[in-house]
Amino acid sequence: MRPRDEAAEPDCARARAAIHRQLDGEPLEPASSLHLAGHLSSCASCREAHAELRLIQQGLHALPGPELPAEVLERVWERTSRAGRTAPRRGWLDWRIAAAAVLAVAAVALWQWQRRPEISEAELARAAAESRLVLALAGQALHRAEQVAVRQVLAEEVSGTLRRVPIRWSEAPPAERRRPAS
Amino acid sequence: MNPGLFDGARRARGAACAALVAAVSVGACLAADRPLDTIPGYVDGAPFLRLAGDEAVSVEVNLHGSLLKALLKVDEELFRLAGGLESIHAVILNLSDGDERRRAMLGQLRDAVAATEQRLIRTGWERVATVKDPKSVSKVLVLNDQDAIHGLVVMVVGEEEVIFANLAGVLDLAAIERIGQRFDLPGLDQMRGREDK
Repeated sequence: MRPRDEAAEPDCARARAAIHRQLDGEPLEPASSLHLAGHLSSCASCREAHAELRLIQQGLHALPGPELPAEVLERVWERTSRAGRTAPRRGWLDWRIAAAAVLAVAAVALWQWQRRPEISEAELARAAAESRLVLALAGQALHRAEQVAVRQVLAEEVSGTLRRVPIRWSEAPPAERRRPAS
Repeated sequence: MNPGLFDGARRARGAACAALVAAVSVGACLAADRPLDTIPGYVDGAPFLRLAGDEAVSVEVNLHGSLLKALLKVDEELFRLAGGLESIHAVILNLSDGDERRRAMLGQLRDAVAATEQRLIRTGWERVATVKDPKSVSKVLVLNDQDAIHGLVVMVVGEEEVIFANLAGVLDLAAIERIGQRFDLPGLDQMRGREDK
């Protein structure tokens, strides 16, 4: 390597900078490239420096690279691949999607609920009459079943299923009525 | 890099999916009435309607969903006696107008009642009473578990009338029986106050 003062000339300094950029793989502008070529043809010092630097670079490239242990490579791979998957904003994105879905569904449900047809007084009156008719019908069937059950109790023929029938004694229970007065 | 971040993101995605499913479910519940066939005590009376035809139907009642809910809200007495009701269905068929075809239908309707009874018993219903007299046969079936009665079916086959009634929901049979004693219904004379022979 030449002493620094030899490269102190402005042209040499410019040429050395261009040499370093070129050896680092950077593209040179056409003007710089022409200047460097011209300067190297006229300046032995810079030509020598260029040759030395190129030799050093070739020597460095020829050195064997250090082998990384397999576990180190694995750790680096895991970390880099995880880093891609665990971007902290992703979780927030999920929650935003969920919140938007909840709001959308709630809005649709509210819209559906509001557009339900109003039930008129006449419809309610008819429904009330119909419900009472069916309930009365069922109630009378149950009452009839109760009468049968009472008779079967009195005849001591009661079975397990008849206990489901809601027996209400309007007077004293039949057992007491049947018991002879003391 | 903190390895827990990956689990955290996965949990967040899971929670987001759960929130979405919950929102859809709630929305669906709010937007639509519960389907009839998902109510445990519901029994479809359509076979009787199909068998008899529209001309024979004197009464058909179908109350469920929003109409029944609205009724239970405004009718305090009904709510007190039968607040757990989810559906009320009934078909009353009148076969008394002298039409021979309809009278001939009575045999088929008797068979339909027997088939319905057998089907219900096979699916867990319990027959609590069969009341026979010279002019009619009444059958009462309930669907119950250890906690409550969920369904009631009443089927009456008379000489001129066939009745199918179904109540579904959480039922209080004693309260329903009180309703039956309170209301005087035409067309049910064969069931009311007649002594067994």
